[in-house]
Amino acid sequence: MNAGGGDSRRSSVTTALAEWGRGEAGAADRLLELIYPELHRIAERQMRRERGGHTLQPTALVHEAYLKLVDQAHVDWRNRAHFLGVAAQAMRRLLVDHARGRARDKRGGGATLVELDSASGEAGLAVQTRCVDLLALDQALERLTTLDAAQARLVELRFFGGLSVEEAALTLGVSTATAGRDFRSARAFLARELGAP
Amino acid sequence: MTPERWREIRAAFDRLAPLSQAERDSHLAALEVADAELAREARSLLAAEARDAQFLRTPAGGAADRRGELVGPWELLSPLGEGGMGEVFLARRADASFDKLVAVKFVHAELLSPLLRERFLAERQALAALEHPGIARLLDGGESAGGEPYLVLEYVEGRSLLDFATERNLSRRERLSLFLQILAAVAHAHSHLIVHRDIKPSNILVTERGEAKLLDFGVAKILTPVDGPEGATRTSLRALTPEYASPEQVLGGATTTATDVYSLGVVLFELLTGRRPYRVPTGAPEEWAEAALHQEVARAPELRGDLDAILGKALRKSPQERYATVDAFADDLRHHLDGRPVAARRGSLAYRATKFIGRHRGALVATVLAVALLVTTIAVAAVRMRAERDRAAAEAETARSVAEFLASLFQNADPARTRGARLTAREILEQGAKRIERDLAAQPMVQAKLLSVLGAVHRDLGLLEAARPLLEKSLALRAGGGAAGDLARAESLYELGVLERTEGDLESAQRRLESALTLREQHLPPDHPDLARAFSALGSIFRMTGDLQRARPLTERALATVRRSESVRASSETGRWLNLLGLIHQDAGEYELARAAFAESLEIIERSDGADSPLVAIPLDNLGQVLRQLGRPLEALPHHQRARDLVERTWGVEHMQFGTALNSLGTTLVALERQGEALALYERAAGVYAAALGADHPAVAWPLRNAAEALLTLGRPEEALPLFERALAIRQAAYGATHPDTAQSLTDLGLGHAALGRLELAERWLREGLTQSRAALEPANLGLAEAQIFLADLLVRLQQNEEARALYAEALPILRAAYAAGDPRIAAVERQLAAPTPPTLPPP
Repeated sequence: MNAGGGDSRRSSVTTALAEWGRGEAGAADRLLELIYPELHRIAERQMRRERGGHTLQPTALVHEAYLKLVDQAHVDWRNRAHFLGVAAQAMRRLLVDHARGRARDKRGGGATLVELDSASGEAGLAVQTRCVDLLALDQALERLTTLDAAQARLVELRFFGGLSVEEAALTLGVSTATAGRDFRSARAFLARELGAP
Repeated sequence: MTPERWREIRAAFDRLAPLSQAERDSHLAALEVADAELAREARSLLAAEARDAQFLRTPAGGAADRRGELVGPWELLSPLGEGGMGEVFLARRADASFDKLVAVKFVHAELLSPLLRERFLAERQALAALEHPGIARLLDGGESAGGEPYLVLEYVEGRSLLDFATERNLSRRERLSLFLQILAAVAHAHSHLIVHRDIKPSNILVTERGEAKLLDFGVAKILTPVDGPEGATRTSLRALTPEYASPEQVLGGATTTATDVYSLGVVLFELLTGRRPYRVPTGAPEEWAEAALHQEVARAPELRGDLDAILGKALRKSPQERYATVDAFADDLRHHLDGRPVAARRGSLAYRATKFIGRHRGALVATVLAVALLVTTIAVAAVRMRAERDRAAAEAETARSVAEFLASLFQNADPARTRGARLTAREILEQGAKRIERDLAAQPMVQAKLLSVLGAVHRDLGLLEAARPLLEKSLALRAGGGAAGDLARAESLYELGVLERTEGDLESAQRRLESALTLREQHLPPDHPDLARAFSALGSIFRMTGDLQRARPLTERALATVRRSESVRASSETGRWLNLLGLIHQDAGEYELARAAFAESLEIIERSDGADSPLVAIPLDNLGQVLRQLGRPLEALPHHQRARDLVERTWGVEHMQFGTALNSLGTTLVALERQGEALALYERAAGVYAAALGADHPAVAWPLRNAAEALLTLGRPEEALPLFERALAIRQAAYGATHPDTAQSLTDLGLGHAALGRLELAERWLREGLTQSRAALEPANLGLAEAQIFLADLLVRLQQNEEARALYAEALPILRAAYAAGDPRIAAVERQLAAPTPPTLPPP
């Protein structure tokens, strides 16, 4: 692998983003195909680095991928939102695949927990770590997709892509107020589906 | 579940989610009847949401890593740390329109209420205007799409103050000069009427080059809860830093520049000793709060002498006892560094206040009085408002903003700010007015209130032209309906009316004040002091137009209105109304009633404001005058002497009040037949009036005619006549023909001519004087009796005894009513009535 390879990948992602920004058909799919392998590579490297670690830092992965794949000088902040939107989808796939793998590895099977806010603890304070059963969440999201695909997509963007409501709203082409409201009811739906934490 | 059904459930959830629990319950009960299944679904969703508020809120991977996230126009770059308010990120402008790095500070959402958000918007502009090398600027702020409030601040690379001092192993002298840099920055902000409220070492960064920079200026204010429901103080303590909080912050009171002085004191203590000024067992926030309120500052062996005194002064529990300004604090530290004596050691507040009054006299005293009075008024209003729960939030916010603003104004108008590029009271007022216009557009209620208050202060300082647009704008903003709207409008009308009264536009003033009174009568309880204010203002208008019959009952109502309220009754305001009542009695010739009113007024003002207050001089002077009119000049004399000294000390020798004090003293000396001494006083008084008010002002006529009268008594009618003529000319121009004073001047001129032996001319003037006196004066007025007696005396000289007797007979009951039985003036007229005798002619 040489610098040129990286550059060409970078320019195709940048181009695809620009196409998507212009609303060209198929641009999103092309982006996903470009992004997923890179995410996967970064994830694997991180996993190796943190020996025995079973936690992914998906948002960090996405951002790292973004920095690698997108030429910062040639995109504006809207492109970033689009990129993250696609990356969120890729990340969901990646995380769920990873969780399935770990579930198989685990004696007795069962759900794998991904720590969701391990790093957000305030210094010196004991913070309750909240975990989510990713496989259950993935299935619940599928059910939500059948009821309201846009809501499921919103959760994907926010949770797997780490997008702010503003960015997610922009990606989905709705107002931030709508996005905020949709996210709230989607959360309630998913929380109920997943049962008591 | 079908997508359609989910849409219905969602809609129900969306409606219910923003409501309070009680509201949810009642809506759900209604929904139960219409669609039990839907109600069950909604209820279970609400319950699921409530189980874990954080569920899915933070993205997979964690919240700490928000690099690249877009917040407003800002792109987060890397986390800088966790502040008391929330996380802080290094960020840059995403569209590259601003090339400097910034710090984006997120605020825990629960610290911000909607009211606070509003305040934030109003404050932001003022804060952004702060430009000082020692202040990290607030650049932007808002709310992210996710609803997190954030602030954007200039990014400063540096160490916190204490770390810097320790790492560089700074000497005490170096520490003090570093601290002086900080004081300069805080003083700059204070001069813009902005208070920090959360000064602590971690908010002070020192750069590599040793430049101190303050962070988060004004941020704490945005976060300080308003008079909210329960828990306000607790929240404010949470948001602030209890180790450095002042007693007034702990108590949830108004914060002023003195609050910053206190926190700076704590920081300096720690910078010099490495310890906090208080000792607490565990360091819990409540313990620090308790210590701030009750603990004495710990003795530190390394802080003996000056520094101990300086810190003691900065750390006083009572804001009034601290350094009045940050500059005064800095001055003392510089004095200490230079080995000069420091104010904290010799200086009590009283000492400095005396010095100040000596220097500034009138104007600032008036400001301070006006502002102090208004602060009290507003504090009272705020307490009342709190009782009315529904309107409480908005109104208490208004009252609080106003009180805070005034407090800052008050602090900045402080006496101790005298050296260097300091602001005069007038400049501070101008700045205040600008700031109100600029920053409070989003809060019209607060803006209108402040405009009204500031307009009144301008007016009371004599800045009438500047006052008018402020008051008119305030009135225009107050177009709202309801009791609150009506009362707000009444306030603006009242202040405008008082302004117009001062300007002399009595007709318009009367209309405004009558409107204000009507509104207040509609909405206020009958014993409300604002009603009393409207009564008395109208009363004084009618007194000025000479309509005593309307003036008296209004003023009496003002006094009756507040009779039941102990605090108002004992206030100097009541003293002023009593003084007005005394003047009305005096105008009506009812001197004994007037004397009693003035004496009570004097007593009340002496008690409420202290015997040295300039306000005391007014009833003092009036009491002296009425005693003289009652024929008791010996009793009057000490009052006038005291009034003169007081006015000289407080208002100064150039103030018109000094003219009045001299004139009154002269008149009393005349009554004691010390005309020679009086003459000099009158001349000086006329000079003071002419310089202060203009040569044609009617006030100038008083000492002129008094001097002429004294000259007449001294047998110098040639000198007297031109003075009488000048006084008449001034009065005719100012008042017209039918006015008590013009009438007096007409009679005066008759006396002058009579003294010169021009009897026919004298008769014409005296008759004209009597005619106008009858027209202008009430039948019982002593002035009328004087005009009658003077004409009668001349008629006796002209051997027209019949008519003379009739006039003496008319005058006698007036004299008997005004003077005590056996008064020589009564006896003289009785003799004339019995046997008219020409007075001895003055020597040729």
